Amino acid sequence: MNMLKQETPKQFLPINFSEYKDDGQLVELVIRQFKEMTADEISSISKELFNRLASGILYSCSLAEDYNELTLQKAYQKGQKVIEKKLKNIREIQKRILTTLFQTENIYYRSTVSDGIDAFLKHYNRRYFAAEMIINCDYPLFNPDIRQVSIGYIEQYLLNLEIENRFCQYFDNKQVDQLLENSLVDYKKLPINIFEPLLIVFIYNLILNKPPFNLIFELDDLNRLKSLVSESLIISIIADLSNQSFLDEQIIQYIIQGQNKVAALISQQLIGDNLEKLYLKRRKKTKIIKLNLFNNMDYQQYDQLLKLIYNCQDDNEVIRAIKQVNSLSDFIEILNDCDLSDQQLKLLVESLSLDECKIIMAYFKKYDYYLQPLADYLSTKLKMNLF
Amino acid sequence: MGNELINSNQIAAVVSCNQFLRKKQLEISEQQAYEIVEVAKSCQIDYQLFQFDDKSTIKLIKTFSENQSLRQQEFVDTVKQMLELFYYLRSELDFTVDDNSIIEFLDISYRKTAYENYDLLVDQCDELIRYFNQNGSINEYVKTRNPQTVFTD
Repeated sequence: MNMLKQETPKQFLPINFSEYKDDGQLVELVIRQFKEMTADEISSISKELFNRLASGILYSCSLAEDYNELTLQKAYQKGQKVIEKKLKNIREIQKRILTTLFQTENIYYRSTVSDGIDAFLKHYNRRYFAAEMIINCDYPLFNPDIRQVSIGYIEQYLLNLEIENRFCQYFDNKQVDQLLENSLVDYKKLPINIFEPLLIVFIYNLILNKPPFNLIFELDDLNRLKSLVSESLIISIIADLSNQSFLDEQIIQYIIQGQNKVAALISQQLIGDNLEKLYLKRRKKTKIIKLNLFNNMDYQQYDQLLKLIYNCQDDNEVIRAIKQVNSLSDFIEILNDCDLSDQQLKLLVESLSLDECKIIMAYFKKYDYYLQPLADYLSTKLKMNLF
Repeated sequence: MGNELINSNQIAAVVSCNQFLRKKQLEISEQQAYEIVEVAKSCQIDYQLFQFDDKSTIKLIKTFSENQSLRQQEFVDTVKQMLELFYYLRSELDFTVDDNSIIEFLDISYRKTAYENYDLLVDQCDELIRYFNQNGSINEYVKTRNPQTVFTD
């Protein structure tokens, strides 16, 4: 092996190698691993593969507590044992999270912790390529630990996700999905963090002295909030969390870790006047159109409704009358027959939920029949609620 | 003999091939051994490969010494050319393809499909690389070109 020491081109050694001792030990270990891997049937190694193997060895060594006092081989072996423990730990955390997984319609939430981690466990090669990451964790964390790599990153990722998952569990999952849809229509298909908006709402609740996990707000709450919120108030509320009994210490520490981020996000919201998107307003008890294709009115009912609409005294009354319709085709027909003013159409579109707007637009598309300017108002509303 | 990357052990390893070469009326002089090692070194530098023993060079010399159409004058030149192609393929194929498979591919192709023509062989090496990139293995490819060959890997 002396010959190898002399001949190893310096550029073959990984950049972080200077932290370690004797390059001869590393070369020897890389070659040994390479021979083992290839059943000693290849006698040259590419720079890229040399670096991958060397990085794996050095990463494994770095996990051994006292690697500075050990030979590279001993440090590597100790590091491998640490990796084995981490793999076991990852399996256990994954299992724990999956059994208590917060139920959301966001596809990345489950798929990352289930399929993503399974793929990591299947393909991670701790012996030869311990430093390699293999997968991307698609679901973004509120506090990602960017100092870690490879298995260390995955383990910390899951520990943090477990804390976020525990926090999300305090909220009603159906309401959370509604809240996310308010802020991002396509939230189900986008890799967005769920913990973040819930933490912000949680802080707003504390500012407003409301139940901490409430997601229903009145317009007055929003106005009050705008006048109360300040960065210092947010920091002091977070600092006071330990004196409250809502959350466990791990969640509190996790929130403290990201307190500057929360404060910045809240400031952004106030500047952008985006508060409404983060709230579920209390549903008004007025009748909401239930649109379907199979509940048509008979001729008599339809005629009566038309008469009622013609006799309405103001625009709001007209909208209330139209909303008595139970079928999508009746709804389109009524609008066709009533010839509503622009103002009435605007009011009608405002009173419709996003889902209802989507259903009507889908109907127009399906039959290639666009009732203008209703279609324009609907598409404007849908576009505005995209973000 | 001015190349400081070349050491006497490597030259001696090549010269030691004469033990079996002489039986085939072939021989490598010390100067020729130096040239062979120099070609290998130059390829290793070009392709950023780190060679840790001489097994592949010796195997290549041994394999091509079996080719009865190669006489003393062209034998060393052919070995040098095959070494160049060997390292070219080594750098393009990953560690799942062993050295022996590459050497056997060169040997079979040189004799049977490239008709001992270097340029044709280069084209066939490129074809092999394309096949490997698509299929992740070369065994099936080589078998179809030479059904009698059984690879050991």
